[in-house]
Amino acid sequence: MDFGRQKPPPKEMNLLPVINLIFLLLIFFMVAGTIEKIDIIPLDLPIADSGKVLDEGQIVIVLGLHDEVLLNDDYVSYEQLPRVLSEALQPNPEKVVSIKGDAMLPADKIITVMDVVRAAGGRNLSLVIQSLPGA
Amino acid sequence: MLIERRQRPKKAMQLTALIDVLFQLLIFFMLSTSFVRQESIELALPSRNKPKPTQATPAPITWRVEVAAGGQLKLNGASANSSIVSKQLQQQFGSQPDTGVLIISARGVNLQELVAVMDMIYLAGGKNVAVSNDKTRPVPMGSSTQGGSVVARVPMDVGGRN
Repeated sequence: MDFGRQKPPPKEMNLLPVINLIFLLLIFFMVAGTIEKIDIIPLDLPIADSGKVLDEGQIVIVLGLHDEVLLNDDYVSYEQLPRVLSEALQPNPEKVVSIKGDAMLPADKIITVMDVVRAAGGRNLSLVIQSLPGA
Repeated sequence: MLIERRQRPKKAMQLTALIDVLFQLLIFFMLSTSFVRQESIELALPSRNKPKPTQATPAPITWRVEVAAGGQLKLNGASANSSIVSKQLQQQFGSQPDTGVLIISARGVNLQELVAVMDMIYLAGGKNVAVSNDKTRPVPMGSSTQGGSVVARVPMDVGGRN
């Protein structure tokens, strides 16, 4: 038996709420977050309150948990570091050297690297930390 | 004269392309933003070319904070917890702001513990901070030329002179 029901016309999906939502998310991420260079190796920076927002130095030393040393994104070893660093500091010893170390790294290593920076002629050093939001 | 135009059927705006672009942007921003605020603790190193400042200027009063693994603290040789250390440092900085603080980190101390101590000293008002990692290898201390902090290994006799 055919009742001959009228088929409803194919309705187009209403996409406007989706677009609204995506716009909201987009604006949230654009406004609330900051785009930062992602480090090659995962780092959990130490937490402190007394840090200041500074520009990242022109020379960045990244110290990973597994003895990785990166100088401006190039892998070097602890043995090479003094030589490479003094070459990098040669033109201008006032360059800011930023040290990024994992929070779980032995402090001994950081102090050794600070000493290497000093021996290489560096004068301005900064230790990169993270501040907890709301702190 | 009335020419009846045939009305075109109303076309829905093609939104798919817009949504594609929006999704791309969204994914880009989601992946590239970080909500961790990176800050820095500024440190000034003594120049290695300068003569030893300890010879030219009278040795400043230096307090010694020893950090052991696990974050236990010793202030000038006596065990103390962090609130006591911070209180005493505040008092000292209140009367003599240029008091130097030498942080000696023992073996097994991690960076977080060291930074926590540095943080405490800075928040108490310290300006002249030195860090040492070893009790046996003394390296001359520099002076804080720019009013910043100094990081160097410091000879133990400077640290012990209170």
